[in-house]
Amino acid sequence: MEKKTLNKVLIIVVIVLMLGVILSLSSINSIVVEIKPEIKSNDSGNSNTSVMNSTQNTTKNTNNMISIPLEKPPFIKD
Amino acid sequence: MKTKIFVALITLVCAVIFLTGNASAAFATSEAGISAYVNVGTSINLDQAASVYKIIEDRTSTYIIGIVEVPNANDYEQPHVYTSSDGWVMAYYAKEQPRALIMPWGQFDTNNPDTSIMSNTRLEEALSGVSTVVGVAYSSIKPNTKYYDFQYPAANGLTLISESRPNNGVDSFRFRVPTEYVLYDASWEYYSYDGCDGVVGAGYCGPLRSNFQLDGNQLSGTDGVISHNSISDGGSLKDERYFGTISALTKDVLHKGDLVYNPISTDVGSSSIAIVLIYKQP
Repeated sequence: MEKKTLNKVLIIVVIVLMLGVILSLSSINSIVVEIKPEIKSNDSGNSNTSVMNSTQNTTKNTNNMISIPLEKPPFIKD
Repeated sequence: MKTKIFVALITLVCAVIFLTGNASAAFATSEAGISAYVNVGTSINLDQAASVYKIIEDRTSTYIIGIVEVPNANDYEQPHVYTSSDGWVMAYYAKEQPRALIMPWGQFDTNNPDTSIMSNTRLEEALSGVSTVVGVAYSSIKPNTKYYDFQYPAANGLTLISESRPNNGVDSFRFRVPTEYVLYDASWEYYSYDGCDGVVGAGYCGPLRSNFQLDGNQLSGTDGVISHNSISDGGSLKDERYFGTISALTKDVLHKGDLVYNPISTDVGSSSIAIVLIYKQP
């Protein structure tokens, strides 16, 4: 391969790499999802019995239960 | 020749940008456990942000990592905070610490606690500290706050269960984790105020009188539970807290929690428990 051709190929590779980096950086702040933790309370003060299914957000006579979704931060890369 | 040098320099710059962008991921996946994060909506002056840190553990031109104090927490309970100049703030506990440390006991009346009025977790209290010092009211960005557990990347949910008992007696509750859920982590923090008023001596107060029992086993010192330290108020142990992880929590079984408050003399103070579950919901 000629020297000039090799240089042209290298320049194209670098430009592609730079575009990848720019696109990657620009996507960091693009994901914003609002989270409003669900809070349910049926505080009976001095309850003796309660039933809570941690998966269905159903509570009886507990002071508090909050379920919050977990989501990977957009600024953390793999 | 000149072209080759140019190409090499450009490649080097690209590599530096790429590696710098991933620096935050390295610390988070190797050090962090439960985390809360938010973008304050503007770039952050790190000199300004640094003023709210009690301890700065690492600082570069683009971020700070350190300890930001939250109310009514001992040294073990103080969260770490990552603040980036691009506006992101993340509060987290180390991966080995119980997730239940997020419970903010300082927000409640110690003689008549109502945990349903909880406004922010301890992690959010730390986020609030940073956002306030950089001029952004946390209440305006709180709805954008999200959570993540770096040790359980497949987990998609966290549930915080809390109960309190303001006077002599027992409060009980039950909870169940369905079979179809993947349970990654279960942890707890027990908090008692004035649980043994008038009595001096560790080992007699708190756990032996006021305590929390899961399925009939007192959590402090129970098999499968790792307990940590407590803090005291003078010699009377007025402010006690115990925390740890539950190594095995059988699914599809109704587990019973008994919260005991048994003050020795005057019926003031309270007994409280927080349990945090990290799981994957189908």
